[in-house]
Amino acid sequence: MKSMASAYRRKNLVVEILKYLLLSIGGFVMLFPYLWMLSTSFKAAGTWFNLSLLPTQFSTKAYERLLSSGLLTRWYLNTIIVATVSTASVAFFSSLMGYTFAKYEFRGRDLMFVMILSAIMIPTEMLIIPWYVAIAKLGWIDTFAGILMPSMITTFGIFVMRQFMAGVPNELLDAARIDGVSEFGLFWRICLPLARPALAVVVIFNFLGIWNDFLWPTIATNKEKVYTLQVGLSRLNSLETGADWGGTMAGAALASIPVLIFFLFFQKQIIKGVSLTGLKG
Amino acid sequence: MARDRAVAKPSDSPTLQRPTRGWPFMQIPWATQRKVWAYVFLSVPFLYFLAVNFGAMLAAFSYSFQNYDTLSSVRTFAGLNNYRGLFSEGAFLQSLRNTIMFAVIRVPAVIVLSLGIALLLASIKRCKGFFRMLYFMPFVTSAVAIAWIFRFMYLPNFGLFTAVCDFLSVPRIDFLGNPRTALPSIAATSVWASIGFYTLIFLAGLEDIPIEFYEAAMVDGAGSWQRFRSITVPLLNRTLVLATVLCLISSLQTFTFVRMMSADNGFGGPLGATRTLPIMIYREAFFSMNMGRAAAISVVFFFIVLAASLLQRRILTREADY
Repeated sequence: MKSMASAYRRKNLVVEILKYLLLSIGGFVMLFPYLWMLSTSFKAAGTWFNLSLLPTQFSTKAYERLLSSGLLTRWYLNTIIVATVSTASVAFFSSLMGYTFAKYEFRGRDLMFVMILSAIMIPTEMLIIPWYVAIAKLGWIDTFAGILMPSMITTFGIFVMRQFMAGVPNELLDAARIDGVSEFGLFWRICLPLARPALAVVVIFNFLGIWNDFLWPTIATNKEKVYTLQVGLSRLNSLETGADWGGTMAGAALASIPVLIFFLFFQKQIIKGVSLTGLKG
Repeated sequence: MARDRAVAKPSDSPTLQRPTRGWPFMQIPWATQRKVWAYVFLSVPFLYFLAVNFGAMLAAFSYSFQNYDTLSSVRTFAGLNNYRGLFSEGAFLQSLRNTIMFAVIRVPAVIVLSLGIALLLASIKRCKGFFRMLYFMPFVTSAVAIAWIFRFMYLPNFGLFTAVCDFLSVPRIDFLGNPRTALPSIAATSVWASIGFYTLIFLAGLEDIPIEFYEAAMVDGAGSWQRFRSITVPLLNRTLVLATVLCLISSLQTFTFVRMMSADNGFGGPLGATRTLPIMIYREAFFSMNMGRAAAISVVFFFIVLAASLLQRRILTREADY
């Protein structure tokens, strides 16, 4: 009896070790490209194809060159401006729409909501054509307005905020109504503060999405000065003659490391946001 | 005020009235007032949303029936000219095939790998958060940065993967330069980048399965494979449907990786082997300056994405009832 129990335990231990081994191999595969990027970015020019993980000739020239040209800081600034404006708008309007869909009854409500949800089925590849025509007519090419034009309200934001606002008790709103709070006041002073956790998810997701967006900004901009970070990064290797892999990897590192740090801080909200995507089905 | 409070009833009741302040609007029954407010709150943002999405979609449909040069902006009615010949044109058919191939490679790989990782993660106790973080990192990294890193590793003769080929003593592969390996190489990059997202979706789905089900099955003597087969799979069906649909749609729509990693300056080379429909639309609209044709291709693409999401949903939900 005793030996059977210990055999069972030993088998369990082997399974446990196997699990961790598999996960570690996978984890290494995930981590390695980042290490390779960092390592290459610190290698002296011409030693990029050296296969050692630690640079044989350590150099920060690639970073110095990128940062001294001033373009990269400009792209950072552009991206921060665009992401902030878009996120502020998404936060406000998605919350207001989510609140209205959750707390009011009116004709056409369900139809409107279904339309909003079904908009995600329209591929962006189709929309960029009319979007481009529109901003060309408005003279918004190479402006922040042009980059921002399609991203002031998102389906994801409306969906998440509606989910959350539905949980605010009606009795609370009625009590406030009797105390003379206006309908907008109900949203602004009661529902919005209560919805702070959901709002955080929307804000973080939107900021992240705009930061990493590429397809639309690359069409809406032609001038280096108004590039967002991703557009600039995508053209990094053609800005200089020949392939500058150290510079490219340094650029990739500068574009991704801040977001990874951001992720470490807001891991909880990001994971929550992904599982909310899962609810949509 | 005290009187108001006394008559307070649930909000649907038309007798519940806000204390009037003498404005004409305030004399209207409360229920009607609220409907008006709802429309006021929604009007501007909803119209914007309609214009940016559905308005733009209709515009794309209408451009597809026009001769529309991007530069001159001269537009004339073209009837079906933009569509005619599309399906007998080699480049278009190749793009269609590539788009489907990309999804055929990517969807099963992503679903199997991320489901496996999610099951492993769900069954361990220590370091769960750490591993989850590792797998999830590419989700927050931009596709452009990832594409550069992989392009560097895929480099012929000098790249890291060439060294791996040498180490394994297999012939060197020109991953992105060979028409046969280019599309799978880009798809592999995109699989690497998206595993974490789908792992999280599966983890959320697994957490929703009541632990009592597993306990009951263990009491009845079900082995781990049986428990997986009879509890996890059927109860995870909804999540599986969702993940597959999301993954299929995002595969069809992959743009950045292909644009960044394909030969011929990102236009779907070598020999059109990685030219997908999104790349073709982009090229027609912004480099060949033929908006009408680009719109026509985008309409076809739209129906493919739509059909994929509708069909997929139907097939997989048929057995979802338990």
